[in-house]
Amino acid sequence: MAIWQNLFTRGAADDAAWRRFAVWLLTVFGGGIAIIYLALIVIDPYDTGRFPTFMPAGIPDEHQQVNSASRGRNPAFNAAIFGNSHGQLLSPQRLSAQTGMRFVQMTSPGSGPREQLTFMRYFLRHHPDTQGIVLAADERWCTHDAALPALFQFSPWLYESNFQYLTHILSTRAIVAARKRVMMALGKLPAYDPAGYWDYETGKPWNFHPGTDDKPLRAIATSTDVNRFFPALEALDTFTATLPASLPIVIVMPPQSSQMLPETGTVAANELAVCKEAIARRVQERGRGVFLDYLVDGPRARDPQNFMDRDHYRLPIAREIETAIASALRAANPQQSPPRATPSPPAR
Amino acid sequence: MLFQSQEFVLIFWPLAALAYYAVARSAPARQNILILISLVFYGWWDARFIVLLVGQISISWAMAWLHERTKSNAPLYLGIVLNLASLGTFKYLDFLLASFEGMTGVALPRAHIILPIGISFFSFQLISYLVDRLRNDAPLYAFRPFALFVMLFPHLIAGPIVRHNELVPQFDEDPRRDGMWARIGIGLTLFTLGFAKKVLLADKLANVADPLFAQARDSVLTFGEAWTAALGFTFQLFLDFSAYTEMAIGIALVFGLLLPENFRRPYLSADLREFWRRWHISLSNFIRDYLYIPLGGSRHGVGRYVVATILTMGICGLWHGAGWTYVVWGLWHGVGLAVNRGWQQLNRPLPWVAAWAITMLFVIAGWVLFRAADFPTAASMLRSMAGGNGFSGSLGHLGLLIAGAAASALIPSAYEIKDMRPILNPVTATAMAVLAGLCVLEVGQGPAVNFIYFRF
Repeated sequence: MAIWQNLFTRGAADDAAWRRFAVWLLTVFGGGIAIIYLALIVIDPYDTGRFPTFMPAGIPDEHQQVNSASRGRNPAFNAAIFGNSHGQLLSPQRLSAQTGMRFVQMTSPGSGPREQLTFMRYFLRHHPDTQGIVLAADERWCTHDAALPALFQFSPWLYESNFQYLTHILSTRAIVAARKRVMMALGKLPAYDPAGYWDYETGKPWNFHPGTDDKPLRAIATSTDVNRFFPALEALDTFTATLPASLPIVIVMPPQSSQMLPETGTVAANELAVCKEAIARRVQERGRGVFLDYLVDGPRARDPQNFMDRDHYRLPIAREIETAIASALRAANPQQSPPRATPSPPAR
Repeated sequence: MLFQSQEFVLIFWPLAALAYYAVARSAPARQNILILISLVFYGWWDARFIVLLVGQISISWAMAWLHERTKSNAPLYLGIVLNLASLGTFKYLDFLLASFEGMTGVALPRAHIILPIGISFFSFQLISYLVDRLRNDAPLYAFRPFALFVMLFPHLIAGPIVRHNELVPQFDEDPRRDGMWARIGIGLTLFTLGFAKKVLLADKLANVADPLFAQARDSVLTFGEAWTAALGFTFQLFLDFSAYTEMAIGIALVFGLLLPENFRRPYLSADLREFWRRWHISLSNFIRDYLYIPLGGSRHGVGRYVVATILTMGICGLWHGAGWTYVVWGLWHGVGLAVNRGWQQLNRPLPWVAAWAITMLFVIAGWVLFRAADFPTAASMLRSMAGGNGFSGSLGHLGLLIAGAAASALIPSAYEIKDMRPILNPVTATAMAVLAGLCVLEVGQGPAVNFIYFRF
């Protein structure tokens, strides 16, 4: 008798016991999964507002990769700041006060162009009346990698279609988030700041001692024969093509300490220069916005007091950038004269 | 589509089982359904390679049919060559080009061919059938059961490597025959246990081993780091692959089919020959029957035995991957087996603990070679493990390594579980359901991690 034939013929009683076991297992498993799934839909752990829910607005999670789904659809805002931690210190409250717009922080630490474009599309989908966009575009926007890989833990399904959401929501992480949201609804956990501002400097002692940078000033090199393919910028073009022509976009290349800048004459320096030219040209051609380039060498970049670490500036620098952004947005206001290209602010 | 994905567990498998049992009374209908399901499963990875899979199956069957009609062996040899050519092209072409370039300095363009998933497995199954035809050991099957034997989805991607005579006769058996619920219950249990091993242990061990092996490419690991990486991968590989096998056997059982066993607690082996009787059993049997024995085996003197063993294991290494580290890993085991046999003929058995320790050290060293990106990385890690860079550092993730060791040694194999008489009551059923539910929720955290043997 073949091996598969002398097995499992253990008698009707044995098979009946297995039937009860299998049916019980499948019922508990299927029923349990169904209950959890429905609970997640109803509780809406990330406050995406996709389906009717009895839960109050807001979520208690401080992780920007997930709480952006809540902030990004909040109707209280009509302008947003995008980027990663290099744009994180820009205060939405201060920008709101200086421009009259209602800003929300949509930066996500560690993110790259793919994630930031996803957040931008999500915000615009929920805010067709958007008044202003600020993009803190660091050197990651100069990538040549056409795949634009996600650079950090990222859940794109939170920001895409309902189908994507429904086919990805079932997870341990969502259950933990749902529990927290229930605790928030019961008043036992505070909701995270809906404007999304998180100041990484306050409360931390400054301790950045990079040593003296005595190299010659790293100049913006004349463009030479370098790779001019910037797929992230092309993806940005696709996005901006969908926007109203009157919507101002301010692109900021945030400052970093001088040691982070490529040496003059290197391929990296030339490519950065070409990338900046490409960004400036796009802003110029769009005609409603400005490119603020702070990624330059000079007294600001060489003063350690201006940075928490090699690539994260401090609050005074953030205030300076906010003032320039606000000025650019006011200048781009449709009621006023047509905008002009704004040169890089003078170094401190 | 991976077994350990929500779409497979919650949608594909239940729908497939329902469709199968809806037509179960008709053998042709249930074979047709399984073929359709298997094509959908395979096409989910990359629909382009369905053509390759169906093409290789069709050509191999056509060669067998021609052999039946003409009684000439030529079609069979042609079929074997074509299967080897397909495998060689898709899997080894760039490797051969790189090796030629390395030896001669002549730069050659690379083909950059995408490796069709499962090609190593289904090519070997087709070759085994054609060789059995040459040996008059295989009937000419009708095309439908023959195609199904190769493409049956539970074993299609990463085995077990099933022989035609192990599977084809089962297609005539009505899945609703006596013992149906025992098969379904055991199948669900095996699947759940494999699911848990993969998601709750193997993938966690990958997070320990992968960064350290990556770090070893650029820097020297400490003694502790090297052993953490080596042990982490040792347990990860076994738990990952055995988990896949248990899930495959479990899935097949729900359809009333029994796949062969593939593991039998190999890390309890006290010598290398025993290890290869317990590790990837279907592959071991294949290379024994189709390489080692035709090369002479152990029946033509010591010299022939040594050559057959080393050559067989070298080819086994090459089958695992298009890289010289795999080949050397195979040769390492070939030499080890030859030395093992020589020692056994001295008739001086070691205490079990000593024999086990030596075997495990040998196997672990081999896994370092198997996993390392290149020879310098492997050499650096092995040197660190031997204390050549000092004895600094301690084992990291000790709890996880202990869990991996315990799971590898204590969890019964698929066939041991299959033959057990478990306590069947709502408590054990609920425990299995909760375990399966936890695994489903765990895989929802992010992209599923492929099984290691999917890349072979």
